[in-house]
Amino acid sequence: METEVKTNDGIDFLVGVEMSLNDILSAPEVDPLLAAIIKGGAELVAITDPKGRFLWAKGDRNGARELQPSVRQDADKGRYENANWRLWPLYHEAEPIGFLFILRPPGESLCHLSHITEMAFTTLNLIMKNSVKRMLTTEVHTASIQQSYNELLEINKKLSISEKKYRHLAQTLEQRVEERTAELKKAHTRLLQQEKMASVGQLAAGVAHEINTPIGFIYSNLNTLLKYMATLIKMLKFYKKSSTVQTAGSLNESEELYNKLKIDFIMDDSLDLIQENIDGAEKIKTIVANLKDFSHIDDVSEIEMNINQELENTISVLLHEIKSRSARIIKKFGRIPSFKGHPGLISQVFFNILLNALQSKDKDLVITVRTEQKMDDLVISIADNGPGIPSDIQGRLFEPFFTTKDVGQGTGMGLSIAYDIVSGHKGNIKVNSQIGEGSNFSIILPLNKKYSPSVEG
Amino acid sequence: MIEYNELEQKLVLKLVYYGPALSGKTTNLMQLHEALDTKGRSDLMVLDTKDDRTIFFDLLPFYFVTPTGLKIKVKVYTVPGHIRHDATRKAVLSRADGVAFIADSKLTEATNNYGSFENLEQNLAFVGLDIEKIPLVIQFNKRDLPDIVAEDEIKKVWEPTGIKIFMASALHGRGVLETFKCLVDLTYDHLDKRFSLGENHELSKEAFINNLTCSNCAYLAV
Ligand SMILES: Nc1nc2c(ncn2[C@@H]2O[C@H](COP(=O)(O)OP(=O)(O)OP(=O)(O)O)[C@@H](O)[C@H]2O)c(=O)[nH]1
Ligand SMILES: Nc1ncnc2c1ncn2[C@@H]1O[C@H](COP(=O)(O)OP(=O)(O)OP(=O)(O)O)[C@@H](O)[C@H]1O
Ligand SMILES: [Mg+2]
Ligand SMILES: [Mg+2]
Repeated sequence: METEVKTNDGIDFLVGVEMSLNDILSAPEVDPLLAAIIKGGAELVAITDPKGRFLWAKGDRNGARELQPSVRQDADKGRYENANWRLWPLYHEAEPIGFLFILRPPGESLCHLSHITEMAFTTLNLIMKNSVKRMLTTEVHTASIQQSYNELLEINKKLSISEKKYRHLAQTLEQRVEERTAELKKAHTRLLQQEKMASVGQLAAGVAHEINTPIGFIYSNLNTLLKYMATLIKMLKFYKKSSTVQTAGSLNESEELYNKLKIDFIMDDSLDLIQENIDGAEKIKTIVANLKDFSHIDDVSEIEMNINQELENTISVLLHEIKSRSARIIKKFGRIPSFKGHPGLISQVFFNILLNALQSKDKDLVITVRTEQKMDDLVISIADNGPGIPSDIQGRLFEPFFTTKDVGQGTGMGLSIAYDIVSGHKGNIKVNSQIGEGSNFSIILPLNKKYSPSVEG
Repeated sequence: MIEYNELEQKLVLKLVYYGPALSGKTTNLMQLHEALDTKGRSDLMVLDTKDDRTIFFDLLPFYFVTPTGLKIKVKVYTVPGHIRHDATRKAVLSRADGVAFIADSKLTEATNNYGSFENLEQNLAFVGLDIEKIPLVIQFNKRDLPDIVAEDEIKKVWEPTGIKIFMASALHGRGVLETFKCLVDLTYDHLDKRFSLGENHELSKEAFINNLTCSNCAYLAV
C-alpha cells in the first residue's frame, strides 16, 4: 500500500476518494421518495447496497434486512424483474453501488406502479448526481481552502505588520507635514535674513571703500596743513617780533592791524581747529575700518577672532540707531583670549541682540556690553534697561517666527538665528529678564569646543 | 493510486490531464467521452466552469471487473489551468498514476507551457511523486491553428527526454485517443510491476487498454 500523501500539517489534499451509497444519500433525501412509492401502492420499497443489504426501507418488510437470496441470484444473472418485484441498479462512476427494490402487494399487478417508480428512480439518480457533485466540489474546496488558509495566515501576518506601519505613518503624516513645512519656512527665512545681512555687509563694505580714499587724503592733507600752519605761525611771529623792535615805543600801522585782526587768536585757534579735524578724520577712519571688518565677506572658514573687536565693529554698524535714540553704550570689555569661529556669523549674533536691545525702549536707553572669561567659556553679556520680557514668553524667544512686534516690523527670526549660530559654535544663549528691570542676554562661547559650556543661571 | 482494497478486491486509479490554461484539457476529456463506448464508463462530470475555464476539475470515470473479480476504477481528471487554482491542482494531482500534459502549440503560449510544466514538476514533488517514474505523455494540441511551433522543433526538444509526444487537434478529435491510449499503456506497465495484473488477475495489457478505450469508431474522425 502506498502511504498517504500528507502535508506538513497532516491535511490530506486528495481528490477522488471512493464513495458508497451511504455517503451519497441521506435519510431526509430518501424518505419522502420511498414514502411516495408506498403511497403509490407498493408493499415494500428499499434501497440496498451492492450485496442487497437494506440501507433504507419502507413498507411491510416482515423483519427482513436484505433481499431474498432468490432475488439476488436473479440479479446476478442480469434478471431485474419478475411478476412480484423489480430491481433498479444504481451506478456511481460507472460502478454498480446498489439497488432500488420494489415489491408489489400480493395479487396485484406492478403495472400501475411502474409510472411512479420510474419517476422515483429518475429523481433518485438526480439526487445522487447532485449530491456527488456537491461532495466533489466541497472536497476540493476543503482541500484547497485548508491549503490556502495556511498561506492566508502567513500573508495576514505580513499584512498586519505593514498595516501597522502604514497606520502609524498616516497618523503621523499630518504632524510630519507640519514639521517639514515649518522647517522649510524657517530655512527660507534664514536664507533671506542671511542675504539681508550679507547685503548690509556688502553695502557697508562698499561705502567704507568709497569713504576710505577721500578720508585718507583728507587725513594726510590735514597733517600736512598742520605742519604748514605751524611754519607760517613761526614765520609770522618772527616778523612781528622784528617789527616791534624797529618801531620801539609806538604802535605802528602794521601792529595796529595785527591786533585788530586778532592774529594771535587766529594762530592759536587754527592749530586747534586743524587738530580737531585730524581727530575727527581719525575717528572716521576707524569707523570705516570697522565697517569693512564687519562684513567679513571673505571669511568662510573658522578663524581666530578678537571678540572685543567684533563687538566694536557691530556697534559701529549700529551707530546710527544708537545716535538717533541717544542711547548710551557702556563697554566693559575684559581681557579675553581670541575665539575660533566664523566672525561673520558671530557678529550677526551681536547685531541681532544689540538691535533688539536698541529697539526695547526709546528714551534714556543704556546698554551695557560686557565681555569676560569664566573658566573655559567666553561670556558676552548685552544688558539693557528696557521694559524687560514677561516670564511667560521667555521660553519662546528663540522659536522661529516668535515676535511681539507688529506685522511687518519683526520677522521673529533674529533670536532664532542667533541661537542656531551659537549652538553651531557649541555655545549657548541665556536670558535674564524681569519686567521693569531690563533684559540681559548672555552669550556663552566655549573656548574648547569639545565640551559644552557649563550651564549656570 | 487512490485506493487498493484487498478485502473488497478493488483498485482505484487516477489519471490526470495537466497543462496551462485553455490548452484543451477539458476538450480532450469531452472528446474521449464522445468517442468511447458508454459501456464501462460514466458520464463526464464537469464541475463548475466559468467562461470555458475549469474552476475545480472535470472527471471521466471508467469501471470494469477482471476475470478474477478485481474491480478496477479509473478516474480521469483535468486540472484547472489558471494559475490561481494551484491548490486545486495539487489536490487533484495527489496519488496520480499517470499524467498527460496538454501543451498549447500556439507560438504565443511557449512561456505558459514552460511555466505549467515547471508547476507540474513542483506539484508532483509536493504530493510526493517522482516525475522520472510516473507515466507521462505530452500532447501538443491545437495543431489546426496557424502560428504554431514546428513539429521538428518540438521533437528536437522532447525526443531526447524519452517522453512520448503526440500532435493533436482536440477540437476535431485528432490525437486525443492516441494520447490517452499511450498513457493507459504506460500506466499498465507501471502497475503490472507492482500488482502483477497479468499473472494474478489475468488482465493482459491489451485487455486493460481495450476496457478503457472501447471506441465508438463510427464517431471518431481519425
Ligand atoms: N483551434 C483549436 N482550439 C481548441 C483546440 N482544443 C481546444 N480548443 C479551444 O480552446 C479553448 C479552451 O479549451 P478547454 O478544453 O476549455 O481548455 P482547458 O485546458 O480545459 O482550460 P482550463 O480549464 O481553463 O485550464 C476552447 O475554446 C476550445 O474550443 C484545438 O485543438 N484547436
Ligand atoms: N532686549 C529685549 N527686550 C525686550 N524684549 C525683547 C528683547 N529681545 C527680544 N525681545 C522679545 O523677543 C522677541 C523675539 O525677538 P527676535 O529678535 O527673535 O524677533 P524680532 O526682534 O521680533 O524680529 P526681527 O529680529 O526680525 O526684527 C521680540 O519680538 C521681543 O518681544
Ligand atoms: Mg530682533
Ligand atoms: Mg478545463
